[in-house]
Amino acid sequence: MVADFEWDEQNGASPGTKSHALSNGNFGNVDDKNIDITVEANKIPRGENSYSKYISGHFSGTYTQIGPNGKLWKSAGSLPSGVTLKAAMTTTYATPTKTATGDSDIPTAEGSALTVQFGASEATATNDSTTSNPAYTAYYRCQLQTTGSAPTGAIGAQTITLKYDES
Amino acid sequence: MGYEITYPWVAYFRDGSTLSQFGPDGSETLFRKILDRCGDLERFQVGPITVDLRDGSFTMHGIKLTGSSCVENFEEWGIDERIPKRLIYFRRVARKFGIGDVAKEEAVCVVYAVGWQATLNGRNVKHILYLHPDGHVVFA
Repeated sequence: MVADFEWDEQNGASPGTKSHALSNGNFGNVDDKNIDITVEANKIPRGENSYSKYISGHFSGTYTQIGPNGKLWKSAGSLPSGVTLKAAMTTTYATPTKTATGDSDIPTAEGSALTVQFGASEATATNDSTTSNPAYTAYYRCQLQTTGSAPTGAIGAQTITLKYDES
Repeated sequence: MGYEITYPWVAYFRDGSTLSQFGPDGSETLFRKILDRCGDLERFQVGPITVDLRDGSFTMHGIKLTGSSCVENFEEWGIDERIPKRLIYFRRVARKFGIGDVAKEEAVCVVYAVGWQATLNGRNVKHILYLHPDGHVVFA
């Protein structure tokens, strides 16, 4: 047995509502999880930002420790011209909005990955490792930002990798 | 979603007793139990690799390995059996998250790490073997 794992997302006015076991991490013109990008109202108008998203890793089941060496980065996929993916790790949830988060571009190499910390909740995920069960990563706050020159259509496959030690 | 343990561990203690990660009935012993008895631990096996905490050697597929892959560290490897060596064991897990389809991309890559660390001349020295999913081993 090992740790069970799922991706969670927090949505709605702060303190928000958590949803478990995401099926997709699509960005959209709506604050919601598992966004259907074929719905017209969910599409991000060119020149605008997506709603920010707050996603976390959720551990349960059988383990002694989660962490250290937590890292997160974009490991595959190329974004179209005029589209950038911004990201940061944070323990603070704020109501998702389309206002630019102010975060940097997500790292695209493991060597420059975001540092991921762990805790009994996202808000207390300030440690390199934890023995709490369940356990969570801090929030992976992300937002898709576009310029007026961004192409029409989906951004194509993008892969985020979360790496950590477990025992 | 979890993953299968490809290389279960077995702990060998100084009193001759052993403790396996999985019992005959499939029940699991948490690694925490090893940490609780780390002072009594003699050897620790993960799949084809066994680390001997007495002399710091590794045995891989029945072949005993002594000495360091780094020349400058050779003197540190098992230099003194009286120096207490602390077990290192963890699984390095990489989970992929496909933005468009989590399930489609959700492959899990697990690398098993086993080794030891010791304090030598006030410095923490580590020797770790990383056992990758395809069976290849990396020294660090």
